Parts: sequence; C-alpha cells; structure tokens
Amino acid sequence: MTTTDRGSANASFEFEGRTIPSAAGDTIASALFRAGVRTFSRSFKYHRRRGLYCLTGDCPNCLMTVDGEPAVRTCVTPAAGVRRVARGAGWPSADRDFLSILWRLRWLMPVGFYYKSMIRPRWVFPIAERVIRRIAGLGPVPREPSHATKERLNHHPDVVVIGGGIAGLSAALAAAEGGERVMLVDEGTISERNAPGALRDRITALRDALSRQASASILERATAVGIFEGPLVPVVDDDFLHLVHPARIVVATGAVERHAVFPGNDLPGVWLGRGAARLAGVHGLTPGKTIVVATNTPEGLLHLDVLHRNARREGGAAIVAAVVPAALASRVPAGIDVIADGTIVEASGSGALRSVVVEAAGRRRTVRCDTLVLSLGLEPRDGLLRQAELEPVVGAGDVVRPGCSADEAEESGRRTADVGAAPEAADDDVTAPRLGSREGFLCLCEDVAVKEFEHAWDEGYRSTELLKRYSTVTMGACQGALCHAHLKAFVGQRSPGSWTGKPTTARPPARTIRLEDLAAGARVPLEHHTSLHDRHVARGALMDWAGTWKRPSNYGDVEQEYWAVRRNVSVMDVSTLGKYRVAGPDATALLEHIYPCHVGDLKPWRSRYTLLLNEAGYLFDDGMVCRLGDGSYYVTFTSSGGDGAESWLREWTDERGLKVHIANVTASRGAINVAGPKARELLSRVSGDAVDARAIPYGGLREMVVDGVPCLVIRVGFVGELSYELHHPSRQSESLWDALLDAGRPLDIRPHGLDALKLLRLEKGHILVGQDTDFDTTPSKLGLDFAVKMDKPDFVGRTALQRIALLPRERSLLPMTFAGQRAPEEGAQLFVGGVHVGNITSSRFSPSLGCGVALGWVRHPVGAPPSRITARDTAGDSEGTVTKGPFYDPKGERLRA
Amino acid sequence: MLSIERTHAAVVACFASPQALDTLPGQSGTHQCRVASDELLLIAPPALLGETERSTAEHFATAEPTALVLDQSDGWSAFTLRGDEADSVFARLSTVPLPARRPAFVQGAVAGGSAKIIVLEGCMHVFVPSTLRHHLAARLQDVCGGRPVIPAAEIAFVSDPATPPFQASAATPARR
Repeated sequence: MTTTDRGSANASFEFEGRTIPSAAGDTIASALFRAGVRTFSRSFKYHRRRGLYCLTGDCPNCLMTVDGEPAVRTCVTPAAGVRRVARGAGWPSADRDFLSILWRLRWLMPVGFYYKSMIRPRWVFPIAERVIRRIAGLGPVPREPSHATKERLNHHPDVVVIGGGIAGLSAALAAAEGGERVMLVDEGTISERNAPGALRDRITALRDALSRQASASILERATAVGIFEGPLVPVVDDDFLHLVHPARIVVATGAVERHAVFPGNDLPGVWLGRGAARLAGVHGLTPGKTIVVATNTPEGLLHLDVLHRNARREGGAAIVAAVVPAALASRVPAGIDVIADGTIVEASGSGALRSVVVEAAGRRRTVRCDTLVLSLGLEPRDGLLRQAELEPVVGAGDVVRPGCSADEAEESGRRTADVGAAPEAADDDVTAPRLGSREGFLCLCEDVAVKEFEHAWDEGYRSTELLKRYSTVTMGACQGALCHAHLKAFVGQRSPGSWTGKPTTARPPARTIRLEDLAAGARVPLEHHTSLHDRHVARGALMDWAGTWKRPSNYGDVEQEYWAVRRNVSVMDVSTLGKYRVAGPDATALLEHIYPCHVGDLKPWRSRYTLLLNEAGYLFDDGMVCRLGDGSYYVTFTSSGGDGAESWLREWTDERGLKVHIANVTASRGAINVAGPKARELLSRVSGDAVDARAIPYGGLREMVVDGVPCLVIRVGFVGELSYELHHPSRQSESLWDALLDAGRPLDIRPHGLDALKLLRLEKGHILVGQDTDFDTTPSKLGLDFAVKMDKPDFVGRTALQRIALLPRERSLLPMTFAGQRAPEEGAQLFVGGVHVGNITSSRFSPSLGCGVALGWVRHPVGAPPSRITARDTAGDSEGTVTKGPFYDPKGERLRA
Repeated sequence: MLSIERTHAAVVACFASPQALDTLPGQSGTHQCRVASDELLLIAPPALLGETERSTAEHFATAEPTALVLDQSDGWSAFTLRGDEADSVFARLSTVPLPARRPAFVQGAVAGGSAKIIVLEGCMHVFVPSTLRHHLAARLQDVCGGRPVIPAAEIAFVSDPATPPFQASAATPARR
C-alpha cells in the first residue's frame, strides 16, 4: 500500500501543453514521473539534463515554475490544486535544449571566468551580462503586482521544535508533558513522507500523542526561514508568516544523504537512496527498469529492500547489482548480484544513465543499468543550527548524530526537555566524503566540478569562505545541503587541521522563500491622520505623504491659496507638529542644555525660535520653545522630527539625572495656523478675547477661547505674514476649523496646503530641515548665528561649534533670484564662471516678486560668496543673482504687524 | 466569535516621582496603568474625566506640587476586542505577548504604532494615539479578512462590571 492512491486520479494540471493526471497524495514530481517525464530541469550553467534525485527538497533538480512562481520544489509540493507547471530553462525546450552545447564549451568557462573574460573592451561586459542572465537562472520572476494578502501571526511558546521526525516529535512531546507550551513546525506533512511500515507507524503514534496535548500546536507544510536574534523563528506557510518568539529552540531537521562525486553523477537516473525509496514506497513508482544500488549503511539496505519489493510487485524491473561492503553482503536479498567492497567511479550515458563503472579489488567492471541508487552516508541538515550561535538552541536526532537509530533519535529528542542538561554535541566523527574524480560535480546547483575547485585553489582561494564566494558553491538552492561537506573535505584534505577548513557561515533563509511572504503584514505603511483629515478630503484636497502623515498638498489652486495668505487670510492644518509639555524642577536646565539659544531669560508667555544640534554641532531639527510659567514649557518640533526630538529630550534627561516631566501632546493637541493681513480681523470675529498687537505681540502667546474652544495662541512668522497658531484639544479641531472658515467667508478666506506653504516660507528665506540642510549643516552655514549663543557656558554641540569656528567657512546656503517666469528646478547644479560650485535645494517662481527665488549650497572663497551664479537643470541654464536676507518683506514689517 | 467596538475614554496622564505616584489612591471606576516608574495613565469612562482630573490634581498639589497632570483624552482612541478570536486577532498585529494572568496592562507596538493595552478576561482594550485611529481600524479590517467588523459610531468606554478597577504596571500583574 502506498500513500498515493492511484485509484482516485481525479485531478490534473497542465505541463507544457500536456495534461498530466495526478492522484491523491501525489506531489507534482511524482505525477510528472508517472506520466513519463524524466528531464525535470536543465542545470544552471551548462544546461545539462537533470532528473529527480533526492525527493526531500534538498537538491535543485526538480525546481520548476508552478502557477507562475519560479523555483518551486516539485518533489515536496502537492499536486492538488496546481494548475500549470513548466520547466524554467531550456531553449527552445528543456527536452531539446540548444544551450546544452555549453557543456562542450566548458573549457571556455572555468570558475570565475566572468571576472576575467568579457571585460575588455569594456563595452563587452554589459552585453555579455544580458546574455548570461537570459540563459542562466531558474525561470522568470512574475512581473505583475502581487495581490498577496498574507498577514503575520505572532506566537509565544516556551519551546519551538523544528522538524517533525522521531527526534522532533519526541522533543515536543517531552516538553508538553513537562508543562511547556510547545509549537512543532515541519515543512512537509508529518509521516506522509515515509513509506507505510513500522517507522511510519511510530511517527504517527508520536504525532497523535502530541496532538492530544492541550499546550501543543503543530504547523505542517510550514517552512522555518531562519533563527534570528531574540530569539525569533519566522515560519512561512500558506496562510501566515508566523513569527515565533520562543524561550528556547530545538532543531531536529535531520540529515541529507551524502551526494557522491564521480563523472556523470548528475545524469537523470542517478538517485539518492531516500528519494528512490520514497518514490517506490510512498508513490508506488519504480525509478527505473535496471537498478544498481550502492550503499554502505543499514538504512541503505532498507532502501534496497523497498526497491526490490516494489520491482517485484510492479514487474518489468529488477535490481541488477548491489554494491555493498562485504560485511553487509549477506543482507542483500537473494538473486541480486553483489559487488563487495566496490566503489562507483563513473556513470555514463547520453542524456540519461546507461551504465555505471564499479571498481572493486583493483578491477573495474561496467554494469549496464538505467538507475543508480546511492545511500553512502548522511550529512546533517544543520543550516538552522549553525545560524544560531548565541541563541538558546539545541539539536536532536540526525542533525547532531547522523545515522542514529529510531530509538536513539527518540531518546535524543526527549533529552532536550531537560533544559539544565548540557546540549548533545554534534558528532565530529562523521567521515569526510570522498571527492573522486576531477570531473564529478561537487555542486549540482551551480554546476561546479572538483577540477574547478582545483583551479580556484591554484589561484589562491584557499579557504572554505573564499572558495564559496569564488565558485558560488553552497550559494544555490540547496544552500549547502549537498555540497557543504565536500567543500570542507576539499579544504581539509589540502590544509589538514587549519581554520581555513571550518564550516562556512550559515545565514537565512534556510530555504527558498518569496519576498512577498517576508513582507506579509508589513505592506501597509504607518499612516497618521490629523483630526481634520476628513475635512481636507471633503474639500477635495490632494493628500500626500509628509513623513508618516497624510497632509493636504493643495486644495486645487495653489496660486489662489498663496494669494489668500499674502492678501487676505488663510488657515492651514499644522496639527502634525511635534508638541510636548516639558515641566519640572529641572525643565529650564534641560532646555538650556539642549538648545543653543538662551531659555532662562524667556519671559512667561513668550516664545523663541530654536535649533536642535547634535554633539557634532550639526542641525537636525528646529522648532519653538514657549514659556508658560516657572519650570513649565510648551515646545514644538517639525512634523517628521518630533519623535527624534522626544528621544533626544529623554536621553539628556536621563543622562544628566534631571527631574523633568516630558509629555507628548502631539495627538491630543490639534493646531491651526491662521495667516494673512486679515488674520487679526478674523480672530476678533470668533473670539471675545483681545487679539491686538499688545495682547499678543510678535513672539508672544496667550490662552484664548476661540468660538468656545480653549486655545493656546502663539504668534509666529513662518510664512512672512501676520500669523497665529491655535493649539487646542484635537477633538475640537473640526468645529474650530469650520468656525474659522465660516467667519472668514467675508474676508475671502481659503485654506492653504503644503505646496503654497513651501513657496511662502521660501520667499522669507526660511529653511526646511532635511530639504535645505545636510547631515553636516551648522547654523552659521545657514546664516542662523542669531539662534546660537556662544556666551552660554554649555549646550549640546557647543564644543564642536567652537572648533568649527576656527576653520574657514567655504560653503554656505545662499539666497538667489532668477529673472524671468521660470525658476530653476530643485536639485539644479550651480556654476560660477563655468566651475561647479553647488546645487539648489529649494526653488519656486514668486508671484509677489515676479521672479524665481531659490536657496542653494555654494562653495566659495572664505568670506567672499559670489554675486552672480548660473543654475543648470534639464531645461538649460538660468542666470541668477546671489542676494542677502529674505526676498519678501526683508524688514519683517508684515509679520510683526 | 469576535466583536470590535470603537471607544473613547477619559485618559489622564500623571507625571511625578515614583514615590508620589505610589501614593495616589484608587478612584472609583478608574484603572491606574503604570506606563513607567514616573508616568501613570488613569483610564475611566468619559463621564468621570472632570472628577478624575480634579481629584488627581488635588492629590499631587499636596503630595508633589511639581507633578504634571494632563488631560490626554483627545490623544487616545480605543478599540475593544471581545470574544474568543480576540487574542488571535491581536497576535496578527503585535508581537507583544498577552499575559495569561488577567487583568493586566501591557504596552508595545500594535499595527506598527505605539499602544497601551488593558487585557481582561474575554476582552481587551487597545489604546492607540488618536492620529492612528483610522490606521488601526483599517488593519483590524485587513486581518479579519475584510469583514466589516468595526462599527462606524464610537461609544463611551465602560469599565467591565465583572472587573473592578485595578492598578497595574506593564512589568507586573495587576493588583486590585
């Protein structure tokens, strides 16, 4: 009896124009094999035919494009639900691939050839690269956007066990019985990969026992991606990206049968023992008609037995020879030719296996066959284990003791529940693989043969890490499952005992995964809305990203919005500003320390423009400080800088042991800017409080009630007109906004967005941190020396500014104008006398001034900025004049009205 | 089974020394949630805002005059998740482990934004900055398979009658 029930073949999928039936329990590969497909892929570099090999998902031979997704491991992917399958490489087809001629031209393509050839003349390589990309690879990546909606799901078990074999199930069961919350993860369907028999029954019993534990959960067909710091184990299945945050981890990922190296070891018809036995025992298919089995392990003899019984049952197939150690010869079923103590030295055939050459007792013998099954030992599948150097991870079963018996595996698993016990050490006594002939493929994924390793060694790449990077061995789909042991053996034979032969660093992902799976649940960016968001949308605003906020860029007519500010009155939602209450016995001391300006001399109900400098003296944010009373302040920062500024405040509070309370009121306080020559008139219509210049002078603030809403009103000047910021409880933003617009109707009020704001502030020469500043911008380069008081005994950045002041200043942010109706593009390059000197950071056409206005970084002789400048953008050159001071209302009479 | 409500609560933030915060007596209908050693959130039904703010300010006027007491109600929006699917839905949006012992108070990132969570038997109240109200609502909708799980109207936060007001810090289980 097999797992695949051929009597219920009621599904099918399309394969390169053919309809392939599949039975219940079939994988894609088993269905294709049953339908007569023998060439499953073409190799990466030489386009050699490749057939099924491991049937455990470890080798690259069965990778195909399934329903548009490339590089799917068809040997472990169920056929149920699949619609279309195709092979990735081959021109015009995988069956008849013209590019297989590359094997005959392999002498032109030694390892690393692309670093040495095709680079002179230089124009050759871009062409060669395009060709190489077309003919190599595993299949095209889908171009259409992903419509994946997979989410993340977080788990917090006490222990996660990776691997659902005997060792893993035992480890999970022991932990659950000990009262721990357990999660067991397996990339397949537990027990269905084993042929019916005692082993499968044992696994099934363990699984059933674990399922009855209330504190245990089992995830099947779920792939552990890696082990990360935390620890964190991401696991991908069809439904979720599971983020598992365990207290400890057990890795029971088993072992892979050893890949043997000899000429022809990649021909279709050469199998690993577990693969052939699985094909026969699980899917009821015979791998070939004339079978040679080569094994030196008890497990291999079990595979031989399965194949022998399957061949006899199916008829038309036979084991024609068994190559075994003499000590095991008596266990070979009668009627099979035994070659004792033999070694496979060659496999031959044109496109498929036709014969093998066996060397025994000094003589070579050719055996005609179409199938060679190899069970020559196990290599631990330890990639995950090697990823976790510092995390609480232990191994159990074959991954630490390859070839252990079922009883030993169960004991190994149960022992992991004793968290106080020393972890089981990996078996260091694993015999290194024999490397065989120079022509044998070491790496099936990347088509690397032994002789190519020898070339690389001769060129000086003499360690596992260097050979790996130069040859790309272990970097393919198998991630070293089949070839890592050979890499170590090669270096170990040439440098015995040297550190150069140590295992290479294992990194996630342990298996091929989709980027969209890693992005599960993370595709939605954090999006902040102010309380006025719906009002902006209802008004037809163009909403756009400003940091993590959605803000109105404009309401459909930027120029009208601009004139509303310059001629009448306008309102703008500035609720996005970072807003904080800072209070306590040491509040003044803290602010004196972090700001380069004076704070202690600020009178109550007065505000001041402030800069934030880091310890190198470089500007990273700006804002306002408002004094409310003794030791009580209201401070603001830019919309995108608020979080960083808060961290800065808290860090210095802790660093200096200050008694300060810092409350983030960004969300609880809305803010509306009322700006324009008629701003005062508007406020007087909606408030019974005094709003004249004496009540709220420029730089002043007061508490007012505006249309019934309690507000902290701050007189500001960012846009260069009479302006008030109304800070209020955010739940009342909508009623306040509506009241202002309603009362302002006779004053031709309209709201303005960011587009108008950027022009308005530019006309005043006001900077935007991040747009007009670089990471190393000091206040003096911006002409903001007025905001820095070097007579203060100390503030953050002071020492650095003292040193910087000793250096000649040869670069400044300068204001400049450009005649005509077109302002240069932002980013335009600047030239003086044909010499490149800098770039424009902000630029707009000014309706008030009738010319272009810009800010730009300019290199210049010390103390001698240029007077004339040329800006070059995609439309050509524009001649400009470097000016001084704000472009608009240079004396500030309008904003100080 | 799952139900989600949008709620609005009275939230009063207190900033004072740890010792002074420790002396704040329990108030009727108000949960005390210790965010940090020197920061406490008082969470109550909206109708109790005035009384909570007043009595708290009165207490600190004597206990620690430099303490800061702020009405932060407008700064928080809450979502109440009820039913046996609540924990699973939460696990799709946050890496914060929910404690087995309840009631409890935990804090951490939910749907990418900072949040405070009051965890009770059978339900949890997830508080996020009001600027992220719509973001969390959209994400809840996403992880519930697009089901229209969130009502349009916001209701007043109510203390669970089965759970008396408690005092809890994010690091330790709640005490009553």
